[in-house]
Amino acid sequence: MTSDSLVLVLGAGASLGARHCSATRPPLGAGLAGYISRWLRANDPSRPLRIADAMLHPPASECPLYTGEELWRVEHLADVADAIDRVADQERTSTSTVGTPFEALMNSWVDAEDDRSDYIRCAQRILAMSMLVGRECAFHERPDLFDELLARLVGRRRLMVISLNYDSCLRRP
Amino acid sequence: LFEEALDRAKRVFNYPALEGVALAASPASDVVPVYKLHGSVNWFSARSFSGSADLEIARESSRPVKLLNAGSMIASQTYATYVPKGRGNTFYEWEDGIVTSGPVAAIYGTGKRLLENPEHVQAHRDDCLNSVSGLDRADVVVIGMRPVSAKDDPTTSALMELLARLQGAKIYISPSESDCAAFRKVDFDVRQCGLESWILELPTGRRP
Repeated sequence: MTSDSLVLVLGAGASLGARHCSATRPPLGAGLAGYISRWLRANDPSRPLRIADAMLHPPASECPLYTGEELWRVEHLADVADAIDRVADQERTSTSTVGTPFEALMNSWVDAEDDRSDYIRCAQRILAMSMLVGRECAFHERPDLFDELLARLVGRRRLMVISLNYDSCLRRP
Repeated sequence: LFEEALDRAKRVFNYPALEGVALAASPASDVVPVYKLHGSVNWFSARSFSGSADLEIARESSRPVKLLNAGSMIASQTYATYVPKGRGNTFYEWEDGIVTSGPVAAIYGTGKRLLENPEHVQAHRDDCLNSVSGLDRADVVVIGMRPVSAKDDPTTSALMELLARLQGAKIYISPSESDCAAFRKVDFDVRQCGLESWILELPTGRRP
């Protein structure tokens, strides 16, 4: 590589690769419904608390496992979660190389004759929370291979980053 | 995740041309432009409110929400896109935010349309394409991205055409044989492996 400028383009595989050693790994598009489905099951507040959770819990404002209350009150949550569960089953057997089952679900709601924008907003909200907090969240803040990428590849070169990922890449307070 | 890595490396970044996001307080040449072409789960549409005993004054002091067509659906466009600082503040917006809604993120489907603040994201996307087309020379590294069609993702499709024309080294990294074949056709130097395999082979602190 010869230029003083570097354009770095990141897809879902980059986040997965950056955390390839994690127990919970960032999903590719073909496994997105499965990821969300597992997250919903792991954080469902109607399920009993595990003993360890009940014994020691940091303040909710500082706890990366706390998923809040509002998501679980969102209209259509149960319907959307059921649909995502069904798509997660399809993901396990799908061999398609064109599109993904989760994409097909979103397209079916976009193209539905009756307005399904509430379903889409609900799914977007679940997606956002699953990339921010909770058990089985693959995006908790910690060092990963992106640190290595910056140190080894970028250095002090002029850098432009273009990401196709939604994940919660947040500045610290 | 990548912005957090920039933060840990003490690199200042911003989201160019995204209306409502304060620019980083740093010399322009030091700021890393981060383009998120599909939006982000921590971007919110900020809504304008105003109170007054006089309805006209309240109206004048607030900015209306525009409604726009997003294919078969209706999208809302507000005056600003808000990016809270840190995970705590982002969580607070999700939990208790009464003047924001979100995420300002593309629907995970064909066309990558948005239901929140599509004009802001379009300006951000346009700025990305303009910035890339304005580059004389740059190395390009594409990691873990699947090839896209113009129908599926018009902006990324246009971006890939611009990147293919750039002078400089071009590397594509993915374990997928079919994805690698697609990028090989547009003259990328393809490494068929995951990021983890590729990055750990690079010498520490030196360019490949």
